[in-house]
Amino acid sequence: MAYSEHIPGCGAERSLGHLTPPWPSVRRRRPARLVLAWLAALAALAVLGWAPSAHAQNECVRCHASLSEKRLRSAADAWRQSVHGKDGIGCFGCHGGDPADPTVRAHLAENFKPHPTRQEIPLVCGGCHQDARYIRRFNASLPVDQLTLWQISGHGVGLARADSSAAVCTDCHGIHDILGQAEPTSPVNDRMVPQTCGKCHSDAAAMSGTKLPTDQASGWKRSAHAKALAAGVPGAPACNGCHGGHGELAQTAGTIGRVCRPCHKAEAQEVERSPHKTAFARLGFSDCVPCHGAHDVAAAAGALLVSVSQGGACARCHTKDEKPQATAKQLQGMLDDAARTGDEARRAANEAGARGMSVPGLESALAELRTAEHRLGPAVHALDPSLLEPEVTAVKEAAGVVTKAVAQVEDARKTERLGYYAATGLLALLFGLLVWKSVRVARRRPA
Amino acid sequence: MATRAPTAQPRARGASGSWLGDRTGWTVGAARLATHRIGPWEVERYAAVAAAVLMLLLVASGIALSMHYRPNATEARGSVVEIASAIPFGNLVRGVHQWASDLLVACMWALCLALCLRRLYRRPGELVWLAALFGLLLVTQIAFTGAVLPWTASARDQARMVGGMARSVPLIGEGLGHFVLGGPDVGAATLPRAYGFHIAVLPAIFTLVAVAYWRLAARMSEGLAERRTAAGVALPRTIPVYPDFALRAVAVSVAVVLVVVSLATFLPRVPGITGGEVETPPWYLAFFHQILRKSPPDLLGIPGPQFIGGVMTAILLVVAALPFIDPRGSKVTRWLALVGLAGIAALTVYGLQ
Repeated sequence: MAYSEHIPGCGAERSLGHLTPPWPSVRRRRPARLVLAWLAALAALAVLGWAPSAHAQNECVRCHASLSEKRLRSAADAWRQSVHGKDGIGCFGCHGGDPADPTVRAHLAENFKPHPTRQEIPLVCGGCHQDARYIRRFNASLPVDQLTLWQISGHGVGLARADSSAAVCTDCHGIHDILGQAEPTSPVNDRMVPQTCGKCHSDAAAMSGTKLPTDQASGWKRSAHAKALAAGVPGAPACNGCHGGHGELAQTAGTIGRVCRPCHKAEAQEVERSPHKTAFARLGFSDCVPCHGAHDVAAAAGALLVSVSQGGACARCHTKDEKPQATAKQLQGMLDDAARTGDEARRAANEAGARGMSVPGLESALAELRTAEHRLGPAVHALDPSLLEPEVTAVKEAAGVVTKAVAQVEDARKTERLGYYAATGLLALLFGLLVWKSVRVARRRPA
Repeated sequence: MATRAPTAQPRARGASGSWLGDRTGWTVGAARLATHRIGPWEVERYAAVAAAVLMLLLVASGIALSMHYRPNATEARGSVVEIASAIPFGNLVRGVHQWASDLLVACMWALCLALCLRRLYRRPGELVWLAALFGLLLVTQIAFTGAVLPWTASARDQARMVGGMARSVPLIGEGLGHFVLGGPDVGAATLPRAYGFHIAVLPAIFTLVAVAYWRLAARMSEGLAERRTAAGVALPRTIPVYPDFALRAVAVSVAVVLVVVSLATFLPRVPGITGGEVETPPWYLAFFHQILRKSPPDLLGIPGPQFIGGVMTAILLVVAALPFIDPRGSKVTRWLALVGLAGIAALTVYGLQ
């Protein structure tokens, strides 16, 4: 029987035999005594009139919170703030022991496990987190495949190979202070993940036993993905966005394209039509990395394309080829043209807004312009000017709609202004006449 | 014999001597006004005229806006955008309404300041002073409730800030905050409440206060003239109400309209439809908000905002009681008013940055 089957509140009825780990360190116990003990406890509690639950009574926290030794007290304090504490998942869920016993004898229970080993931790966590029936009592949307994915991940495989530095659940999620992923300070919150992964992966000493580089986190911080995540763009990936969360997998040349594809579908489709497709396959390159980089993924800006002499992306491979350079320059010229037209239209719209002009349909026209501009990015991946041309034309047309709408309102405003100037002139004349009359009346009257 | 046709009798005038007076009994005519004389540069009179014109402009533009505005949380913002973009001259009318509102608050400040500096709060002007002060509070509330109506993120922020200010008032703060916002915080109930107060309750009270102010100011003017006559003191120079002051009042009215329309045209108010703007309070409450923002969390054992709110309420009560605290109108009061005004102006500028 696996260790997790002894966890009260996690249910002894679960069979974890198929998840027996490949390492031998888990201590086994005799099941009959435990089952009998449980049945006796259940019967006693039923007589007393209350049902057992994982969090009905927690003498552990009550006692530990009152201890003067910080090491023992802080665990209870941290637990109270954790997602487990908020859901009432008690200490014995992971540590065993007797939570109903308010004395030190609670530690003498047979199943008490003060310090689960690194090999035991994934199974302790997985004991509950792979049980869909149990988990949905707390969070129906929480996945239950973490343990399975972790076991096939580099971390899981590393631990199976007795690499004790391979990450287990607590290395990323914390120990007693585990927070839900949505909490901004949680180490597994999307914004915190690069920092959490970088804790080990940027540490040359920690990575010394592997062949992995240590510049991934710093590279990611420079990337378009990091900027998008910081700007709150939905779906912007941190490390787990590409590598997976629990089923973390080192990407190889063959897999990178498949990782990018789910988010960048349109670009991937155009790459299929580009001359790079066959060349990259022949050379064993990844679809995306040669131009965009791996962790320091560059933004889809014009500089990525040409600037052969300035170290642009094309220049990394095309140092002598005249035709690819000419194509890149042509594409760049078309993109610059589209960008200039779009910027001019936006500037006109912004200036109109700053002058308080309300342009009917401007919002939808600007949205159309943005949509047309977004289509340029995918289209350029085909590296064919004739395929980019229609998209550039679409941008110019959308920009024209914006400019025309602004111009129409400006014309109408000019007419309004003429009317206003006339009215202002009349009012000013009336004011002048009144002042003149007032002065005249005052002067005529004898003092 | 041919009888002589009766000649047409000249149209007889009634006792009042005017067509309208015969029919209404109103006896105020040009001749009567001509007998009244006032000082030529009594600022509070011109401020009151400007306030009246601004109120008329607000009512007229407000009626036009209310035909298109929809006062519920889901449609309010859209209807404001519609007014600004799709309704002919909608943005101009909106600009007139907002600028007139801001200028009315400024006008009421000027009126109160003029009354204070000219020591007109003294006997028999006690009620005039109270009416002006109450009018200032009312127009501030009218302007604030109007600022909430676009229901943008910044409008809700402003409502929240003002709710916080209301809560800082001692003793009644919690209830007052609840009353202002329609709940413990800004919510769906805030908007209809603000709309009701903005278009009906507060303007109705302000109209009553304005009428009372005019009557009281006229009575005060007569009272002062009687006192001067009794004391044998004559003003160095006076002008008759009609036609001199009437002409000036019309000129001021035309100038006010000219200024408001010019501001609305050249400095239009762009409807804040994007949300997420920098949190800034309305300018007329910026000084109070700035004091609250910089207040320490605890003052003499009392929470900072409550302490500041208590002090501000006490200052307001002292200012309202000025005619009774300083019945002779000492120079110290003038200097205190000027220093207070400079402080409020500095805090306003600081708070809006």
